[in-house]
Amino acid sequence: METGYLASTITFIFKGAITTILIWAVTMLGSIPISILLSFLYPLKIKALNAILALYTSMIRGTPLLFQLFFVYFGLPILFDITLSSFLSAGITFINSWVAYITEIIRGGLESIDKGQFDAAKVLGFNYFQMMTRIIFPQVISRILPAITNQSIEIIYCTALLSTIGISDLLRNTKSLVIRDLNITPFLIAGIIYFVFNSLQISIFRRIEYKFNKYKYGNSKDPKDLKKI
Amino acid sequence: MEILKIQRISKKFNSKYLFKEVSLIQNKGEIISIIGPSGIGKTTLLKCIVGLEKINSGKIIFNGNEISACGKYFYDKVKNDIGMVFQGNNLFPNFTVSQNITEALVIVKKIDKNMAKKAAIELLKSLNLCEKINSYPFELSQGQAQRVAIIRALALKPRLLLLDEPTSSLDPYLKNEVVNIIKNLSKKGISILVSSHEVELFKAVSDKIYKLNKNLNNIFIKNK
Repeated sequence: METGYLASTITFIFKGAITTILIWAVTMLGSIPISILLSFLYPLKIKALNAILALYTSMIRGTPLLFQLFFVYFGLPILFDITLSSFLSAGITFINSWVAYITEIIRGGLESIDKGQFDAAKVLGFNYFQMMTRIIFPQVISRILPAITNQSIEIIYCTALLSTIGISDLLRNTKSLVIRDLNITPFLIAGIIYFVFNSLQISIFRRIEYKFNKYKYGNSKDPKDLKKI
Repeated sequence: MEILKIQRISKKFNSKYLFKEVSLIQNKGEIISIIGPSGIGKTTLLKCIVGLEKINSGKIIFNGNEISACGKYFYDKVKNDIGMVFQGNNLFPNFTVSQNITEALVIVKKIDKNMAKKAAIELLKSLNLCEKINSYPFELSQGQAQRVAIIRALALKPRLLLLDEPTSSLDPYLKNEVVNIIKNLSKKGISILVSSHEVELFKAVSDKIYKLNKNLNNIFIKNK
């Protein structure tokens, strides 16, 4: 195989990979803070607010991501005369979708915290914000991180849908090379990129998990102890 | 001098009374035990006093101020003057013993971190727990965890300390230890309200014993 061909193939695939990673970063950076803010509202037990949140999350979870993507990209111009670029449509759709999933994960995490923790914090005089940020949320994070890791990986997989609105993501670029050259080498390269990036994510999340789970295994400094949990 | 006065308070859950027309008077430095079988409403009564549950009728007066009336609780009139130790101790598992004690001092009372730590060390020393200062709650025995929970409440210097079933999960030796701690706290002028179903254990140490009655859901005074 020619070196020039391989270099141009890798460059083209990497361009797609950068788009994929960019969408992943935008989705993570956009959805996690919004999800945290929304999930903070649940323990306030305001019925109307919780009903709206439940409706929102069930609507998003009840429809396919591709449908939501088409709705934003093709539907908004027709319905409201709002035309968005394909990248912006993808960003909005992905953030919107992952906000719903991650909010539900955090809500589940919050509900798993013993009510006594809330009571103890209130009796000690913590206000709601202090209680949530200092006492409750660190406990929630340690419980929900495996699920958040899965969601983060899921974003990478779902970027493959972006080719339907003309975004050149990792898989689209790879596929076009395979079809053009009738050679599966680009698939192997893409597979390696997916694997390496996701392994990196898993490793980083595992580190964060270790940090937040530290209290479960005392003062040992060895991350391997995490396996004992 | 009266520190706590409960006047005919009632608490309902789903239109069913848990307790009705309960009254109680506690003087400064007194130890009062509230006894009664499990599920009778002892914990809820304590939670009403500390503001975690709202009462449906009656009044709770603390240190001359009405702190709770029907459906309302006035936290600003309490300001950490009432501490509570829960049945399951409810230590924060993600904090060390030291952090469990100092967090509220630093965040709520805005006390300097080093001062808070010094106060924590003093309190830990007094209950022989100094070597556990950097341990996490899961590394403590039940007796140690219970003592840390008491210290955490005491660190805020409450005038009234509520103890919910403080001996329920302890062995006989540790039960006596907790009773001794209660006795010593009372000597220091802290008023203590204990809920327990272990009548005999608290009989000797209590100035007054109130009983939540199963049939009428009323409180009756029993003299020491």
